[in-house]
Amino acid sequence: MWGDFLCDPVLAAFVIFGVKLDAFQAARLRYYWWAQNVIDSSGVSSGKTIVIWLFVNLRCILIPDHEAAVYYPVFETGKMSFWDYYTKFTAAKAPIFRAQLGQPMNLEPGEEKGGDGTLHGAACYKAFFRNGSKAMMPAPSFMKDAVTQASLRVNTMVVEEWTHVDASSDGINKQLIDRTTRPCWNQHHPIWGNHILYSAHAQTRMHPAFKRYNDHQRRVNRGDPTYANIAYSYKDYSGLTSHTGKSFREEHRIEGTINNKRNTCSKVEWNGQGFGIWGANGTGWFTEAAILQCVDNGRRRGVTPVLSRQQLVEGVKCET
Amino acid sequence: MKAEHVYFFEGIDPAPSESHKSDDGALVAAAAQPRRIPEKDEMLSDNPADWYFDFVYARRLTWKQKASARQWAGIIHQHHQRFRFERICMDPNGGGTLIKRELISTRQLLNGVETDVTPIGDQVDGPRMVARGDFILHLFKRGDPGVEALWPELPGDDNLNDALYSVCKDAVDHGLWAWPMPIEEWLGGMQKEEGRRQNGGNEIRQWPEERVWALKNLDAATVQMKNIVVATKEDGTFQFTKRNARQFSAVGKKDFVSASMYCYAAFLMWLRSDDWRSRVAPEDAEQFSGWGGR
Repeated sequence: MWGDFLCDPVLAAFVIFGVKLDAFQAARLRYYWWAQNVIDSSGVSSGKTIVIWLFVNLRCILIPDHEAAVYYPVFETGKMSFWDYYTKFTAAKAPIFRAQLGQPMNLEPGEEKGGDGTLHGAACYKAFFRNGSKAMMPAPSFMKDAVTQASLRVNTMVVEEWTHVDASSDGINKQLIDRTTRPCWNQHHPIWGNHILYSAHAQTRMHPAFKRYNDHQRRVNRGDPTYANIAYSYKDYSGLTSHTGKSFREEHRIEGTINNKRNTCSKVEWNGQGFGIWGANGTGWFTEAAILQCVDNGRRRGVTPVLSRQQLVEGVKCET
Repeated sequence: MKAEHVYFFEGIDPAPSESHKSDDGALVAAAAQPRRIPEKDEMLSDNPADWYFDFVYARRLTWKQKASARQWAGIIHQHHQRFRFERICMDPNGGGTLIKRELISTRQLLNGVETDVTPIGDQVDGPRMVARGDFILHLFKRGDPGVEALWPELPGDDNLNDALYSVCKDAVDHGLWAWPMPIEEWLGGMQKEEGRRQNGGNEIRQWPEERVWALKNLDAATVQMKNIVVATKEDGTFQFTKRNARQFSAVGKKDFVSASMYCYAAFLMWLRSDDWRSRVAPEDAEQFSGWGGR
């Protein structure tokens, strides 16, 4: 059973957490699971956070002595969106998951045990597992280039809203990437090896974060199986039945809100925020009218494609 | 228009053919003709606005061709034999410097056959490497004599890029460039408008495949032109680099646009070079051999 779970995290999510994922979310979780370096540029309302939460906790549950860290640019955002899932998955809803959660060995000053069974510190939230694994959500202090993370070593690292981080600091490059150096069973294995996952909706190509995305894309283009760039959107919700009995599309695709959002964005912004497309931000350099004028110049003067000087010169002589 | 006053230029945006994801390389040729035939003893104008600049040929080399630097050089030599270019301007990136090294060789692969040709070189290294050759090549980078003549002492490559895009925008906005009409019109759309092209559809069907593709590629260039964007801030103003250069990118491919712009740069370099001024005007050369006989 454990081997099945390791090979298919979607099955594990269903059994351990009772979560039934839509088809594209299942594909997303498998990308997270099997590729060691993933950038997920999916658009808003495509269910990134829940899948990331499942990914982190599944790795901690299924791989003993595993340490995972999740970073948000703003600690409060992480508490409200990511860590809140520990409250939602109660013993009644996910008994197998709850049975895996352990207790903190001791409480440091400023730390307290939260109602969700995890440790709430002033600068870091931690969830302990019975197999010795640990999931953490440290406050990263990105404005100081994440210097507070200097001695931390983890196996799995997730940087949520990484584009905002790249735009405001060098924290990812200077401190976070080399945190993913904790020894693992097999660093070359797609599952045992350490993982880095970046998650945020796409920006424009002029954004400071595009360099990292582009570097990733180059590795993907070269066929490196350890790199993946993925993007899904709210349009990927299918007609499959969700746990409520309604279809995933009916349950999660809130058209009114999405349309409101769409109306307030420029086309290129919406391509990034809605569909996860890294578009070009800017205005057209050559105007269409001017280009058409140039084509019209050619039309009036009878410009023709030629394969040699002779062809054009003969044409010129014929016209005169 | 006199056929003697037609000058050809080529712009090249090379690209390595490593995989199916590699960029495409492009070659674009254009013909420049003065808008007004000069009078006897009158010099041609060195103002680009006094010239027609017509794009007449375009070719794309994709990863499928897997063209090596030597094969690229062979293709350029073949074009030079056909068109007799005044200047060729090439992007040094994407293998441009390797192609430059091959171009100086007197043995080239033309149509897959080793052929003796006149070497093509740039004006810096060319004369030092071969005694006789066509030193018409410019690599589009700071330090090249042609680039320095047009835009001296630029602080960075981004400024050079900005300068090229700006000068090409000027040319397009003022209607100095011309492209053949789209292929749909050749195939029949415009037949009724111009009696001269009543048989346009039939004419194009008799063209060699390469010529039809040249038309299609020139069509593609006009489409790509619309895809070029300049980076702006959220308030709509231009976004500048540290050296005050604008940043350009494309939504989709821009291989033909780049090659077209290099082609225009080659023309501007030629105009600025004054090489053409030293030529004997065709009118002066006629029936004059120095000694007229008794």
